[in-house]
Amino acid sequence: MTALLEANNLTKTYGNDTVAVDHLTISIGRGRIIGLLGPNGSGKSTFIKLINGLLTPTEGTILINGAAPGVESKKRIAYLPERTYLQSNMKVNQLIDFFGDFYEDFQKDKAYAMLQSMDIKSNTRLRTLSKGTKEKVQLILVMSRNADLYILDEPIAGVDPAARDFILKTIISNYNENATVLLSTHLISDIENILDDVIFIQDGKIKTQTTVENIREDYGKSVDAYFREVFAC
Amino acid sequence: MLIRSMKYYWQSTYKIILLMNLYLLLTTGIGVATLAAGVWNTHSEGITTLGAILFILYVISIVFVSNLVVIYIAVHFYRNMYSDEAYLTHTLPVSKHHLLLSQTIIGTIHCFLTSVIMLACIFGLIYFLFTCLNSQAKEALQLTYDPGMAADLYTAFANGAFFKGLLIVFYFLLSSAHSILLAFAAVAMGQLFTRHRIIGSIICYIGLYTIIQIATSLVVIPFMGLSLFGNVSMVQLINCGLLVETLFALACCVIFYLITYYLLSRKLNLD
Amino acid sequence: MAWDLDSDRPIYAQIVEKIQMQIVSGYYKPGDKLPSVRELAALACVNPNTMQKAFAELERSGLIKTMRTTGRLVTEDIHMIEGIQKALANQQLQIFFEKMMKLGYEKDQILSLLEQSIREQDS
Repeated sequence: MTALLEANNLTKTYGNDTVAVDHLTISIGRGRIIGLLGPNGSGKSTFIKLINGLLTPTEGTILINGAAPGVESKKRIAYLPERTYLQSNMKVNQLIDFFGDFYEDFQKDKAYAMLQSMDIKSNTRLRTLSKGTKEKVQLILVMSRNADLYILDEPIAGVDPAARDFILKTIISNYNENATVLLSTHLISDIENILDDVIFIQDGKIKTQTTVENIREDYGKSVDAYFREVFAC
Repeated sequence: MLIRSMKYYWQSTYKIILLMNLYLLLTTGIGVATLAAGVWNTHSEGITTLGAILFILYVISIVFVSNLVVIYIAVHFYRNMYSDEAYLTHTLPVSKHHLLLSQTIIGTIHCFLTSVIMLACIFGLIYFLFTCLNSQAKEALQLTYDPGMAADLYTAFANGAFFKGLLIVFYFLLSSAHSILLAFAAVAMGQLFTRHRIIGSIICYIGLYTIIQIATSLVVIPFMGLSLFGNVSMVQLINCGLLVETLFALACCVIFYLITYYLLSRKLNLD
Repeated sequence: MAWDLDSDRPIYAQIVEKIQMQIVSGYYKPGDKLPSVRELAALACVNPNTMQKAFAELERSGLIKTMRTTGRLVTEDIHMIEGIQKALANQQLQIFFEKMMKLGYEKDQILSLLEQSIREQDS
């Protein structure tokens, strides 16, 4: 049984000798909601970009379902970047058609149902929507996929509390035992109740990989408090 | 998958290209209308001078607009493959070949169609210039008709006109593809710079363009030598020249495609 | 609205407590069907595996039974429910007594304070 995600000595250095990801080795299984936590500049985003094939590794390997990032892995990964990455002059229903065209596992009815529950009209152009609504649309498109690995990069930053709740509840209701959700964020206290596992990353290396339960039982602390301890300057 | 990508690229680019072509048709239409109305057939020197100036401006703007097509397609390529939108493009389950090929094909079609329209406009206008203007105006524009050269050109094409016509169309297609791929390669190479990537792309474009010009000259020189010193007629020159140019353009297309593909698949480093 | 849960303690234990309270107070009556793991997890805004663990715990204690076709049902055993109600009440009393004694009150003083407070609440 191959692990869902496997990195081996994964390294990414930039020209001026900045090491963003430093011989990172990790194995991630299925059916878990995992928090990728670390301070700014710890290598979270770089690691995520390497998984998605948006960066080429300097050294080491990254395998998704046993294959290097490529067409096959992209079929199985649903990625929500931190930025607005959709064409802003496209209408919401055009975007749904687009995703449906390129992703076999995209469920259009699910997307429309979620849009309706959020009161978002499907024939509006993306650029006319507020920032929070745009992020909801991007999340809905990702969550309407039936992927093996969902990667959400800062899904709740800069979003109002009601939208935050919607996003977290959507992640939970979408859960299935064969898929894994990787949440990268620095807003730990808001999401720690929905996490199974946490990965602490610092200076491009894995500092800790454990379950949330272990932290609460062994240390009697919340993940947020434990994080502050571990990363105290 | 290729057709799907092409469909989306077409949808996101055709409007601007259409606008450019409309400009070409409109300006030509106005020119033709004024010629047919005999506006320029006056004895007034002022108007004829004005006409000459407008004609020059027209030619400049036409050439400018057709170059704009390549620039626009290159900018669209950059936005699609290297800006924020790239986070979508490169996470789609589409191979780099398909991404590049679909952009190249659509870009080439845009460029080719615009070139055809541009040529049609120019020839159309020239035809009307010949037929509508009086001799004084023609003198002002120095339009002369050389029967000898025309006869040569005719014989050059008379034999196997169909295949030669096909070759010319093919050459034009390749020429468009060549411009597009050169621009794509320049954009991709510009991404290798860590900072000032856009300036880097422009520098690479100038560099590549210069190299191609030099290479073209090197290829053409033997032919010029032959025509001067050998017993080769203009007919054979044109025939052979066309073939050589086509092969050369084909080689360039392949090289630039491979360069861009390599950079996209092995050297992709999105911000 | 997400449940108010303390991040310092294991979440599943807090969920068990909360569901026990809901059953004991009559929010879920004996024989009622409980929402699915996923539905309740989304409602409470917690990890589904954690909710699953809480359910397993409740099932182990017998408060909940899983029926193959109908799903998860609250037990019909009223004695058990009353027993838990009493145990939870005793817990609260224990805490109350500890706090009052810390304030310096004796047992008979506590009783009269309690009676007075109840009389005031009734009027």
